[in-house]
Amino acid sequence: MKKFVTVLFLILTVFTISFAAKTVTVEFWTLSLSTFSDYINEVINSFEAANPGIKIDWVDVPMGSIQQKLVAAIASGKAPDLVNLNAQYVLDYVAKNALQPLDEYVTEVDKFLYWEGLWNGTVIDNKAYAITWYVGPSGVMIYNKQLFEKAGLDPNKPPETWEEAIEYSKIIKEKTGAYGIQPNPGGINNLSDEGIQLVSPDGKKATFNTPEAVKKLESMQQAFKEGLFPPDFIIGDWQTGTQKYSAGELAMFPASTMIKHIQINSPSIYAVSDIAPSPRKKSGVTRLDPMNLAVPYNAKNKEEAVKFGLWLTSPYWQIEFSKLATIVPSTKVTLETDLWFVERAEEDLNIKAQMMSNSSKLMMYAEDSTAIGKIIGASKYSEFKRILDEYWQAGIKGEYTAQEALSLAEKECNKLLAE
Amino acid sequence: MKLTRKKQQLVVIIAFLLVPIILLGVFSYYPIIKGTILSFADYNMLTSEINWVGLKNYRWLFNYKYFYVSLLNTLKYLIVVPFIQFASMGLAVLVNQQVPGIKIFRTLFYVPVITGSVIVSIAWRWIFDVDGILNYFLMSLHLIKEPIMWLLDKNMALFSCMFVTFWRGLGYYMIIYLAGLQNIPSELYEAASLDGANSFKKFTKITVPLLKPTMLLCFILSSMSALQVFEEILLLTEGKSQTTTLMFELYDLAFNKLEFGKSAALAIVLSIFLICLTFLNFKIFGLGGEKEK
Repeated sequence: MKKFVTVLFLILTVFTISFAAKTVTVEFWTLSLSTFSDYINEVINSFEAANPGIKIDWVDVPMGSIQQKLVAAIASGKAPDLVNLNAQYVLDYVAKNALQPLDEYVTEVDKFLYWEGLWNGTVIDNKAYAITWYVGPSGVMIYNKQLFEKAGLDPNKPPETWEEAIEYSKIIKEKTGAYGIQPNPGGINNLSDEGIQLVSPDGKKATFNTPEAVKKLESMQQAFKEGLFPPDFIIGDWQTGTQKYSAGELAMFPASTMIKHIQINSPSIYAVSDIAPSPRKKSGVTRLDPMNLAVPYNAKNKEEAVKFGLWLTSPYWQIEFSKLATIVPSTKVTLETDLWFVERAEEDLNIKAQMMSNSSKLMMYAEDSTAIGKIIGASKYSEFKRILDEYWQAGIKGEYTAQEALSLAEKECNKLLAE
Repeated sequence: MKLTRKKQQLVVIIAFLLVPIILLGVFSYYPIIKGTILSFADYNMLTSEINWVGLKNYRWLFNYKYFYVSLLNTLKYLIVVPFIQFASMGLAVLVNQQVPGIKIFRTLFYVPVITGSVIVSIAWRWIFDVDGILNYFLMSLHLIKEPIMWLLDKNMALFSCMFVTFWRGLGYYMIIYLAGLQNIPSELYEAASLDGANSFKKFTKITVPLLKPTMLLCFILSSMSALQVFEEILLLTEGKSQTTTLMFELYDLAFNKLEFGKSAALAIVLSIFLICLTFLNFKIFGLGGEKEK
């Protein structure tokens, strides 16, 4: 009997050890998503149930500390297996050879699920470095119908072009004292929206100093001078824009994920608001800043990490996520295909914005906001952006004439690109 | 084996010195040495690759536009030092009076020092907003006709940041000066009064000379803080409106652009500035009371 018990114990031990050895733990980091812990845990549970040998260890990292934590983790050989990074971070880490190309783990069938413009956003030198996840609603704005009415404008006819938006803003400013619109402060975004090529095809020369660019900058400079924009938009302060819109001091605001914030904190303004497409871009291209899932080069369980990444970014789970957060999926299965969204689109502005932003027409031509980085090289991208933004914003503020600002930016960018 | 008294003393001294030496070694000397070495390398911290590039990082730095912009701004930031020192010294003299409720004032002046930097930045961004309370106040008093772009105007933004530094540091240096003032024997003032000295004479002939070591300490501390200013810039302007400083560039190079070699080169240059400035402070103030003898 004693012998039997010993043998049984040994068998059980060996069985347990061999079972435990087969379980792979994937460490997964997200960026400031702790609010959605129920959702993330639900995805993890479903994945673990479908993949018994893989366990997911989820860690949520605050956006502000991701860089330090990730650098330390990768440098010390304790990198997470899968990490949530925005497009800029992906570019920076690829420049430092710190991300694993995913092509050997992803099939053409997998790739086909995502919008090409977004998937290609992380393809550098023909290698895919991340799985594209979600984006904030882009190409749409929230606007205050009450301010439109007070200004004598038709609240059901928001402006369709940039020129119209400026005209509307002038009337709103004159009749109500409120700011008209909060534009994007970035040079790259504004010039790309105008359909202006920023650099030559070989990436060696800046080509943005054109009459169209001067015209756009002059119009922004004039509008700024007339007080049509909330001035603090120049330091990229979306929080201030949200506050101004919430206080009824701003008529049109590309609120994106902040619509929920306005809904909760300023219900009276939310009640008189509506959603409309942002003034049309001449380029016809919507520039998005997608969240991605990347695998560090020294991650221990790369294949399993990619498997989980594809699960998390699958159309089903992204649409489920869109029901909880004001986001738009990166997959071709749009929110229009889901009855839950269709039924609620008219009563909830968050959903209306999501639906409008997630239309096939818009997403088909979307590209990620760092696209220029692939032409000029990841290492030069942030410097290029800094120079161009700095002169663009100085031009808006009237520190230079539009032509001077663009010429100075061109000169410095050419110096950078020639290095 | 029995140790002699001298050897016993030596063991005790070494035991006491060992802990700070280890701490300094790990947290100060090692990073200094490592940083100096890295400044001569193209170091990819993520993959641990090191390519020795000699003086390339320094050459790059001296050709880098933002090095000069940030250097100029950092030097401009030193303007805050005399203002903060004289104001905090004056404040210390005021709160050194023995009047009822003085402790409340001391506490109130110290509150900005212990207030979290994020709260400070949010509050000051509201105040400095073009539609903010400061412009409202100045326009209500008819002191200005149009709102001032405190954080947006390139000629104004750095001074706005400096004002926040001034506001935050005032209480800190006030406490140090207060401690210095309270160490001055009251007999000296009594003797001076008997000799017919007025308040100004007492201040210039007793307070200032005896406060010299404290002044040296405060000037060194505030000069170093000014040269290393970072938080105010990051939280108020993010380096925009031409407010970037050496420390901000250093952080940006290391943690945003992951250029650790270039960042280390900049750190070395900044350290040289700090050493020079500290030396200058010692020259101006002498070595406190010791030199007076």
